[in-house]
Amino acid sequence: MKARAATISLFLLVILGAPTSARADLAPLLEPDEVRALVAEHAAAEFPEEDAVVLFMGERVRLEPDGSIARRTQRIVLLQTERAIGALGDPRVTFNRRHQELLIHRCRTYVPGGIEVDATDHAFNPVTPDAVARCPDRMFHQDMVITHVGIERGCVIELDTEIRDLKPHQAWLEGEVFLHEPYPVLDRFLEIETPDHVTLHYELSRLQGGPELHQEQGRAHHIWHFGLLPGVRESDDGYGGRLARGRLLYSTCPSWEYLARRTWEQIDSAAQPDTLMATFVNSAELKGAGELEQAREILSVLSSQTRRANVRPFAGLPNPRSAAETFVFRCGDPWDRTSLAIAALGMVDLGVVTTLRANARDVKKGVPMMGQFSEVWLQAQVDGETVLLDPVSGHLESPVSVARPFLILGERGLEWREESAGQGLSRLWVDLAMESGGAVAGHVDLRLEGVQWRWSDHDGPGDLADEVAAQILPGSTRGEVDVRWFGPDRCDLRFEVEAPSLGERDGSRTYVRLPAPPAGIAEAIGGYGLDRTARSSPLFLPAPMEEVVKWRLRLPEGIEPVYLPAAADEDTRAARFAMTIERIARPADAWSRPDEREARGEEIQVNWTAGLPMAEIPPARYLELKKVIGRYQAENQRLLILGGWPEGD
Amino acid sequence: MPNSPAPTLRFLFLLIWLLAGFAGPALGQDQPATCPTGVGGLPEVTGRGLSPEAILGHLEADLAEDWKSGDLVTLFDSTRVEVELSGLTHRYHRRLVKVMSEAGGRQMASIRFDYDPASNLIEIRRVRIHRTDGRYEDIDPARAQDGFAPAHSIYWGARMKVIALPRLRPGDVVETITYKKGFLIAYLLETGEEDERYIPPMRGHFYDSILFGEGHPFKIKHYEVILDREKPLQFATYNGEIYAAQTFTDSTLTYQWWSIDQDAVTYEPRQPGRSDFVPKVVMATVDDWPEKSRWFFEVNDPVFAWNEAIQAKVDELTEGLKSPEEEYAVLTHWVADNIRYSGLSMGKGEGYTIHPSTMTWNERCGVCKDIAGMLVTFLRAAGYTSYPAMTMAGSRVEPVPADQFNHCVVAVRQDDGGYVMLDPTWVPRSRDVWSKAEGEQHYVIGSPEGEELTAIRTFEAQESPLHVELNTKIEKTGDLRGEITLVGEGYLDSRLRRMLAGENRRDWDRRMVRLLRAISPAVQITESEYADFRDYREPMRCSARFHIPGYAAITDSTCDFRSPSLRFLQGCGGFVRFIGLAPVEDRSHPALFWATSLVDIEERLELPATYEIAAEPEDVELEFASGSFLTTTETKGKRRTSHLRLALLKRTVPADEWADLVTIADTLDTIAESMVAGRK
Repeated sequence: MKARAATISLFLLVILGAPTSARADLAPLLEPDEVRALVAEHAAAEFPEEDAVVLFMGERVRLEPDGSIARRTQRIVLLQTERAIGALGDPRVTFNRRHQELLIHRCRTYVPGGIEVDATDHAFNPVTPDAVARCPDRMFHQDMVITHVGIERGCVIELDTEIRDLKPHQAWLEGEVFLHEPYPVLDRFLEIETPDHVTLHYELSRLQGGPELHQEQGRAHHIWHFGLLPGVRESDDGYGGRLARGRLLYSTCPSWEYLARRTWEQIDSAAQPDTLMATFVNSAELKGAGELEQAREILSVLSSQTRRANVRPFAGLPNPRSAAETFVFRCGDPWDRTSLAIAALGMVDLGVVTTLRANARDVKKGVPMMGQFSEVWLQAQVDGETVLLDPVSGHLESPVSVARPFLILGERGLEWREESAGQGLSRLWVDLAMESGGAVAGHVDLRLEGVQWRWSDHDGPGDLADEVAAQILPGSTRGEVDVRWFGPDRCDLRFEVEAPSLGERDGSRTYVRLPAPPAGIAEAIGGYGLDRTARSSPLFLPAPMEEVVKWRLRLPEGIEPVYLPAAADEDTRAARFAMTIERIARPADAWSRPDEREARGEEIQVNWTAGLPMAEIPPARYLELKKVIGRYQAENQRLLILGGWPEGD
Repeated sequence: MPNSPAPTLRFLFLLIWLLAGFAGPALGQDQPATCPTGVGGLPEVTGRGLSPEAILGHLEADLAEDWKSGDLVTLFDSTRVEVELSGLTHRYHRRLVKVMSEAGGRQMASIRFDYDPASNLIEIRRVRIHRTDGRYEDIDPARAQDGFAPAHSIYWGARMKVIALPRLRPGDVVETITYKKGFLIAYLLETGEEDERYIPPMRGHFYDSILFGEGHPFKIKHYEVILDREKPLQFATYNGEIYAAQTFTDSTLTYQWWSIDQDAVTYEPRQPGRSDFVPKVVMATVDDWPEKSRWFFEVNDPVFAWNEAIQAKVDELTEGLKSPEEEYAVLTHWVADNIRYSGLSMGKGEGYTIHPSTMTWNERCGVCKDIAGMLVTFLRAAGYTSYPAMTMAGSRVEPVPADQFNHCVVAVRQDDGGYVMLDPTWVPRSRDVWSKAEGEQHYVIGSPEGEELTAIRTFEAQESPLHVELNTKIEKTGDLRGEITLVGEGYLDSRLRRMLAGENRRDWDRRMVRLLRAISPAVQITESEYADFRDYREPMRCSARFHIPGYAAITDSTCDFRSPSLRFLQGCGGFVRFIGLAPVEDRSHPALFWATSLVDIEERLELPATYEIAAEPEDVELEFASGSFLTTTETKGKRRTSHLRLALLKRTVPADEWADLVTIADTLDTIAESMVAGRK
């Protein structure tokens, strides 16, 4: 007897949304018998270390002559662990129920022993995505939660779905397909079918292989087919996995000029202010403020007062709602918010141009498509500097710190701006003098540049100086901040600090930890998972980075270092780190004295430099990087010990 | 305010006007056919010669100063519930919320009304914005978008109506009136009368639990129930003062509760469910818990039938086992590990009845009730008498027999009439059959005889220890090399197993490094060994050898360092959960940690030859009702042996004992930063 009832449902069809279109279904990628053969062939675990193995992943995309689009996806996965069951057991498919319908052709589980369990209607549950649950006019975005039933470790799940337009609603066909998965993929197939008079632009990254092209009956079929693709677990590369995984971009958009012009026209048309907005802008506290402050205030207020509805990746034309409508109903997607911000900024005569920020380091110029962007920002010339305004978060950024290409839209058409992050710099100079009673005073010079400097994270120079003072001299108070520069691309500050003591006093000894700079390499690299034992894909940093700390401490007479860590020097192609600590009997007067306090004893000078010279670290150099950063962290934990204090003092 | 009535009179007066909003034609709404009389009406308001605007003015007057700096204030929130003899309810809800800031305006930019079409219906009868200049705007309720509600893990077809409001400004008041028929979370047959689907599963009965506290302040909150004279309600109030009144007519009983001028309920980390500390009223028409118990048994008992496949699996799992305890454990773990948590709707009865076990067996998924149901069936197939039980995870169940449950578990009857409790939903990757995180939890077993409300016993910290053996050696270079072994039991056995189960096996060292980074961020693992997290025969064990370059500051005559065991303990917030919490000096609510636990560390440390321990942080002995921290250290030449024991002794820590835990955490931080001095 069968261990479980097997429901026979060879062609299960679930449709949600508006009435079904009359178009024929796209042909299945694999027929049921082919799937069964595949399952039988790979029943034994070929990759025991993996949570799952993708036996087949295929997509078929068809552009009809009238512009409507259908996409069919079939995925067959062997589940080997509870983790995989948790990750893949209840997938969600997002579609636009106003313009599309979703068909679930098959959702089947192949249990070891040859049993098949089909999901039935109650396993398909439409839900509203959280992102639009409070934005009624965006509730046409729909998630279908598809629950694989009957799954257990060692089973294979198959999901075959199709999303198709009810009528043409997109200006062109475009798509971004990731070819690697977090698990090995044994067989990867992709077919794009277009009318043969339509040009398909495409570009493949990180994998080799052009498409096979077949033409028949006025249709062009582009087919890509790959064999074994290793799992890429390190998909968190800061670019949504775009850099680490094989990626195919395709589009039928005629040109960048066309995309830019149409997008600009739509945004410009939506960005019309009305009287209610005028009242709001006039009532904002902008009197006497400079252009930059006005821009910050307007963006900040709009951002905090408008809900975000971010459900869709960028694709096709934006179709924003009017600025007035977004203002009144306080909810919008990035395009709606952009139109609103342009309208509001225009009311204080701040002219901006709309820019699209790429979602990767580079833009594939041969494939004009909206999907290569992830954010829409506004560029303005403010107080002589180019500033980017983010209408979603309300933040201001420097083009340098963003370090991704921009497409600048305007009446003229389009313009590209290729920003390089250059070299991120974090430089900290600390010059301290200690009194005989242990009190410490001195000054701090801080310079931050490029990608390591995020202006918007700090509420002005004082806020940043407070953070730095607390880090380098806990319990300290600081003086006025001498702001040499505090702009979106760099900051340069100087301020004085003093504290009743330095480090932890224990009997006759004081234990002092050396400061790491703010926004330094340790912080910058903290999120990149250096605890992995190895990598199979490159590690991407926003830009090369450099860090310099010079720390000088002049001691009172009778107090001297009883322990100084040894010098360190690690130099590899992926990273370098060096530290020297010197005792100097007679301090040179190279730096100006910060105060009049007594400091006639020895001097300690610490020089600390670290650098990450490559922005893309290949897997083979990952262990080098890990070793150097490990040493950096170890040295940063070291203590310098001062002796000579009277016991019991 | 010489012209104002006394506060209580003013409240009554306002209440009458506001309640009239449910029925009064002058306010533009349809009066429901079943609306009882005598609750108040428009004539009583107009008779006092005051306009609705003046009444609103009264509500908005005298707002507390600190409320004015908030985002929202609920001026009025009233629910009237009419209960038919069948148990079918009609709920009329009226609410006036004042926008105090732009952020409040953003929060109220859209209003959402949840419902479940299979068991209730909702009508939005009024959405009105009272502007600051005295004008009002009515928003057409038909503009509401009706869609599926967002859902995660439980997909029962819940829906919502969401209506967008035109831009609100500080000072605006949003008024909503809704009517709802039916009950929440349940489905019934769609045969017969249309209203049949809305009648609650426990036919003829009514219950509710109402909290008189919100995330923002309120001026007046009022709740009223009207029942047939023959259907009395028992109720009790908890956690604070609530006004109450009971009146009757020849045919009805009316119960009312209200509260005025309540500040916003503050949020504190690790607070228990709000029903444990916010003023509330709990009410029910059911006589007692045994009646509820028998109903739960009767409504669910038919689903525990099994087929040959289930019987075969049970026989396979229990073959060769020698005791009932072994069989309970094996069956519980199989269900826990193989029926995953994903809730699909079976239509009829969903929400309060358990899926047929044959269905759960086929689908291998369900929510707690379905997972519990699978185990009830397994146990019956193995020859035991087993029942499902209702319980409440995370909050108290009050003695009034109202449905206050959010979780379902399993009871196995013993020969002496007692029960062994099992919870397969909470023990995936755990040696336990009842999670130690569910101590002191109230439950009611569904049995044919009927059971009383009972509670799980208190679990002691010693039942959930993490034993740590830490052997380390400081080298002449100052490097630290060591070996650590972790063995978990009880709740901490689960924590260790889940730590590994949540990662790909190639990343287990990475997970271990995260634990050891508390000793030093520079830690490197050189070798490791992990027990099979799917093998429940022995407590979970993990061990690793590690290396920390430059751990000690070492010179020709001195060797200074911080205690590795104390630093490791600082990172044990995942095991003793008050460690590493964001500092909260004072609490007004209890702290719920779910499980008591302790970390017990035996550390042996050795200095390089010729160095000896010269100075140490002083030993600590802190013992409080909610937690304890003890350290003892012995030194002998270059060797140092330490024993550390850090314990959380209460699952729920009262607010007035919070300071004791802060003392422990601060002491640990202080001594962990102190230096151990080695000298030649």
